[in-house]
Amino acid sequence: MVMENKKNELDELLKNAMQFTKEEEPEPAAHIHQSLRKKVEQRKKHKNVFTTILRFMNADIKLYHAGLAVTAVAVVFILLRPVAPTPTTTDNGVGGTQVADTAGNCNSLKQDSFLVKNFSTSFY
Amino acid sequence: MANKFSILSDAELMLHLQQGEALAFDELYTRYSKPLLGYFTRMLNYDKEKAQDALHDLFLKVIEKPELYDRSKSFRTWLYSIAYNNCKNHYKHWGIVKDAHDELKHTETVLDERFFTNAAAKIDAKEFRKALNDVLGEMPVDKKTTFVLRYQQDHSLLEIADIMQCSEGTVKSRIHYTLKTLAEKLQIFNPLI
Repeated sequence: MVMENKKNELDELLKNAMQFTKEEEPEPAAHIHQSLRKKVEQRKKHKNVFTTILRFMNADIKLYHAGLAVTAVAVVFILLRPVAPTPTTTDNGVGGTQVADTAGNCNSLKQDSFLVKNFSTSFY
Repeated sequence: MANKFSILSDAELMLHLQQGEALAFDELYTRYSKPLLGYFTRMLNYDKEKAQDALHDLFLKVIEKPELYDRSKSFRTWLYSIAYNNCKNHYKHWGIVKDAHDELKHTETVLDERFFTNAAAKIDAKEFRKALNDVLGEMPVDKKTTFVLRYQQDHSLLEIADIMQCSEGTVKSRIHYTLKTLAEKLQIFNPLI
């Protein structure tokens, strides 16, 4: 008991001696607080600007994600690709489709020259 | 006027701080800046400029790397462990790191606690404080830190062990060594010895 009291007295003495007096007590500089505070606010701004990018950079991308992305891009590419206009009629009134249809069936020279003429007309 | 952050725990404030909430930082700063500055002032031998710089560096680390804080542990312990490492670096820079293990030689000696209790009644508090600071100024960083954390910052032995990454036994041993050194060097204050 006596030892315990002495120990407590010792603790009290040292704790008192280790405290700063009013005059010597250090005060944190206000400019430090302000500069640190600005850094916290900057962190908030950065968060808004870069969060999406950072999230994307840290994303765990699987192979099927890449596969889906490639398929989607391919579909969009096919749908949006420019299509060459198909001529519907020629100078002599023969339909373009007709010309193409007859191409496989021609046997005579007369028919061939007709087709060539027709082809060059539609081509130019 | 108290804001809504004043009722939050340190760990909760850290979450808000991570999201860039300046008011959460204000609250943490209010809670810890003064005691930490006191710690730095004492540890850096009353160099007020260095103490302010150390305080700035510490909070900068808290702001820039809040993810280093493990929320399952005490925030105060984490802060002081950063502060302790900061001071250790200063001491290394000054080249005054002394052998951290020499306290082991003194653990078997018996401390005469009567010195302090007699002194308590008779000495001039101001003079004693000055002499105590002088003696602490010459101590190795580990022992000085242990003593300052125990008697100035009022940390428990377990907290000090966590901060300094050592066992509770080592903390006790360091305090014992420091008290013994103080008793030897401050004999002038004890008229009975």
